[in-house]
Amino acid sequence: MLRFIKYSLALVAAVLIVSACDKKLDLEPAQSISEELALSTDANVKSVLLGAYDALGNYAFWGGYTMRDAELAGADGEIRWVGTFNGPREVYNHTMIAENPEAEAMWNAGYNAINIANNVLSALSVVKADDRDQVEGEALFIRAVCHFELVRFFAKPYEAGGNNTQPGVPLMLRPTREINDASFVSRASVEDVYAQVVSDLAAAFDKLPEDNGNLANKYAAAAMLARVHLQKGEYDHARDHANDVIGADVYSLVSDYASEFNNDDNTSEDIFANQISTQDGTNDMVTYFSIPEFGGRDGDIEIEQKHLDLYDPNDARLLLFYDGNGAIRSGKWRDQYRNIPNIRLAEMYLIRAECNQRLGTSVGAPVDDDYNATHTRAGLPAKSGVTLDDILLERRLELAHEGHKLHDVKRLKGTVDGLPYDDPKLVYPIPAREIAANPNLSQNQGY
Amino acid sequence: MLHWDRSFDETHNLGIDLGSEFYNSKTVYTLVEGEQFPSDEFKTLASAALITNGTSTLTEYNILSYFGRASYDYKRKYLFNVSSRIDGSSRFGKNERYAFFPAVSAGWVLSEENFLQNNKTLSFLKLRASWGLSGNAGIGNFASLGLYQAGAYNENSALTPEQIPNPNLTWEKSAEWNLGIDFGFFNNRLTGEFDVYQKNTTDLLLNVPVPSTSGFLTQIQNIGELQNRGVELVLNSNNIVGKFSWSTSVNLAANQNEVIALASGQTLIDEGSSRYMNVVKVGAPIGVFYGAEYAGVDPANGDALWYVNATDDQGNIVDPNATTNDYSEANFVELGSPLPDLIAGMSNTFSYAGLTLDIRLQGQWGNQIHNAAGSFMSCNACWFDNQTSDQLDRWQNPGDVTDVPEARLGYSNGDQSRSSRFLSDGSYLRVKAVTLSYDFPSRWFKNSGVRDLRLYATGTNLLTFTKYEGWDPEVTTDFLASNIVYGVDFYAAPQPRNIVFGLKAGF
Repeated sequence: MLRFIKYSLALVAAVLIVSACDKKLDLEPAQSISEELALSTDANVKSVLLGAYDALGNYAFWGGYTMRDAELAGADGEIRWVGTFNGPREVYNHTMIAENPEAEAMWNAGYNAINIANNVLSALSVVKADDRDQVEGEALFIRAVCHFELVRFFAKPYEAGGNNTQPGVPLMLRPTREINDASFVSRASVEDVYAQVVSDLAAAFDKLPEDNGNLANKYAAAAMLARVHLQKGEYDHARDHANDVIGADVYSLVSDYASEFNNDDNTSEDIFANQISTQDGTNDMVTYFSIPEFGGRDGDIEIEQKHLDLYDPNDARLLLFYDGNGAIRSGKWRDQYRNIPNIRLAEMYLIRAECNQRLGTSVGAPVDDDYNATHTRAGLPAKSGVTLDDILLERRLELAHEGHKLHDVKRLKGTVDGLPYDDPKLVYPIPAREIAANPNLSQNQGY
Repeated sequence: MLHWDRSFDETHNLGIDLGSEFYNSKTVYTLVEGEQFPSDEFKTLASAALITNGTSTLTEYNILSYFGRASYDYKRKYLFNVSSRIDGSSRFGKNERYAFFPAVSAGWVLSEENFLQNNKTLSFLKLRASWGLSGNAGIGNFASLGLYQAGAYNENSALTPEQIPNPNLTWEKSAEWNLGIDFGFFNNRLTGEFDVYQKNTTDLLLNVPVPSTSGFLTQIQNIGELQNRGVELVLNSNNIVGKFSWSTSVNLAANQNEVIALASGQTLIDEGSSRYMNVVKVGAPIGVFYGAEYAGVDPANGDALWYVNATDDQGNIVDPNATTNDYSEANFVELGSPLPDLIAGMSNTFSYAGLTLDIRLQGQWGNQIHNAAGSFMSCNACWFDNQTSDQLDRWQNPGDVTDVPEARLGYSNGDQSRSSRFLSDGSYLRVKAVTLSYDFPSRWFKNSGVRDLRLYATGTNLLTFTKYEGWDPEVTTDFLASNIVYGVDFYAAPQPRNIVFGLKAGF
């Protein structure tokens, strides 16, 4: 009997110890916080918003690939990929396969930023009432930029005046809280993606303040609207939005072309620049365009004579190119840890000039003046009677190697390496991993 | 823990254990790096002129278990064992933390039976059978939670989503049965074990690719079923005993692995890499190579070719001979298994008068190895990387018959890594180690303070027989290793051939 009591007591003690332990299975990580907490306070939601900027500026998005790849895929003999990585080589040679790592990285980066922006949008109610519009506007701006870049790379081109029912990319307008049936999305039409981009940017324009430090403000949204409408061939809208930016008189062209690049801080010309420092951010344009001396890889991208021949010998923009590691390099992307000017005022002048020229209008300023804004800054004599071809060439030189090349070929119905603007080879594959993970997605032609 | 055992009349032996266990694992990591100390005498960070790096992390997990075991035997001849445990882990979803793992086993020592007790040949014989359920919690410590991590933008702190929650995450469970025989012959000069087993693992803990439109790439999920079955044999024999002795030990293991099921409606998990091609595919071994089937070179123009392998609605290949020079037109097929059918090892030891020769062999058969570096170093000079010498066989003139496509610097011609072009047979037999040693007779150094003295020479990786085209078939590319990606060679350094001479003294 005594033994029975002894064992019973031991058993009771064991049970007590054990039930106290049960709660010990509730552990919280030290380097992370829960999703609920991250979206529960004003300060945290604003930190998540910064996380969305960080994601937008990812090396595979506005930190590099969206710009680099528009140049590589649109190279047409003006630049040359000579690096050892076979992913960018496939982009450059138009021999991409569905497993191409550049396409996959860009796709993943874009949708990651979109999801973070959607998380911010879902938590606006905890943001201080005074800041709510601004936070909403910034998140909408980021979401729109991402959808716009994705639809330009991963879908057939927008056909001005067409109904654009060709498959675009999935539109993601809600944050992901779990993986369920709704996660297996389909592609929206190109028309619908553009419509959403325009509507997000218009809302952002309404809600954003005029000044927002180095982050997106009202004019960043207007500038993106100008860019999007130009891509759609809607010249009146593009002109008006560009005019909004220029007319605000907030920005001015820097006096010396070279000083617009390789900066730690925003210049007077920067409308939106991806902020890079030694502490955070990656400038992957430098990684591939520059050389080891300045923090680049091996000089993976070379500038070819065909491009240099486009310039007037007296064009000051020629001086920015430099000779390094046995080839000509773009000085725009020379030094590491420097900001990437994703949208700058010069583009707005050229959009307004092009649209005014096409429409026979002179909204904001005469065509010649807008053209000469960048043309004379490059040390060239002012020109009058500027033609559309003049403007398109000026645009090509002024914005060279800044990620406009492929998209301009597509909207201007040009060719690249003999391929017509709508050739399937100029459209990225939907990444193979994505097709495997989501059977609802259709693959692009030729992959 | 409670323990109780009792023997009744030396015939019935009974033992019972009951207990509970709480396990806490906590890892705290702190790093501070300093440079520029005035001199070597200064050993603490306070004296560094530059603090160059610093971080600290903390992570932990807990396991709570309750267990019980009962054993009974009759005259040590018939043995029975029943056990069960309930384990709870902090790693799993709140509602799915606990799992129940029972097991039973029985043994029969035949050599204790009257009809065998005096057998001169057979000295030991035991039959064993067991069945049990076990669990695996080998995932990250907080894998079930929805988390945000710290980041930075423009030198301001930021928060970004880190992982998607899975509140239903739970234990991976394996049900295994095993039948075995332990035996000894000739007064146990030849002993061995033979086992047959089948293990079915369900609720596999897999990092499953999810649509990245969600903002996430993967989620740890419990899905599918995996089956392993096989046989194992171990033999130890003292072939010759006496002044000259020779003993041999052999082990053989043949295992078959097959993915039985994934999530309903799912037949393939493919991370879509351009460089690696291990996938999880129903009906195939886990990590099976899945990619384009290389068809050699078009003699007319030097283009690399692949089999199209287009399938009809039933999944049958329509025209097995159809080829294409467009990689994107080639449908992926199973190309081979990274898992060997058979793994074997053998060691022989000979000794005579203090001299000992020990030879160890190991080998495996039936697996393929993917040389993922082939797309750089064996790509018919697609770029400036140094090429393997077999690339000299490249196609050069119309009519050339070779399996190396025309060299086209800067252009892709068959260099795609996900292709059977870079797969080869990984079977090998290797003389892993040979040791020759001499133990000096202890009388030589009596009273000198030295207890024993041995002179030896050991050679490792002395000889390898293989058809593998890369550097070393015993390959591990550490940075890739996972439960899916293996059998991949990506510039893995081959193991060196070592020859070591030594003198070993004991005091």
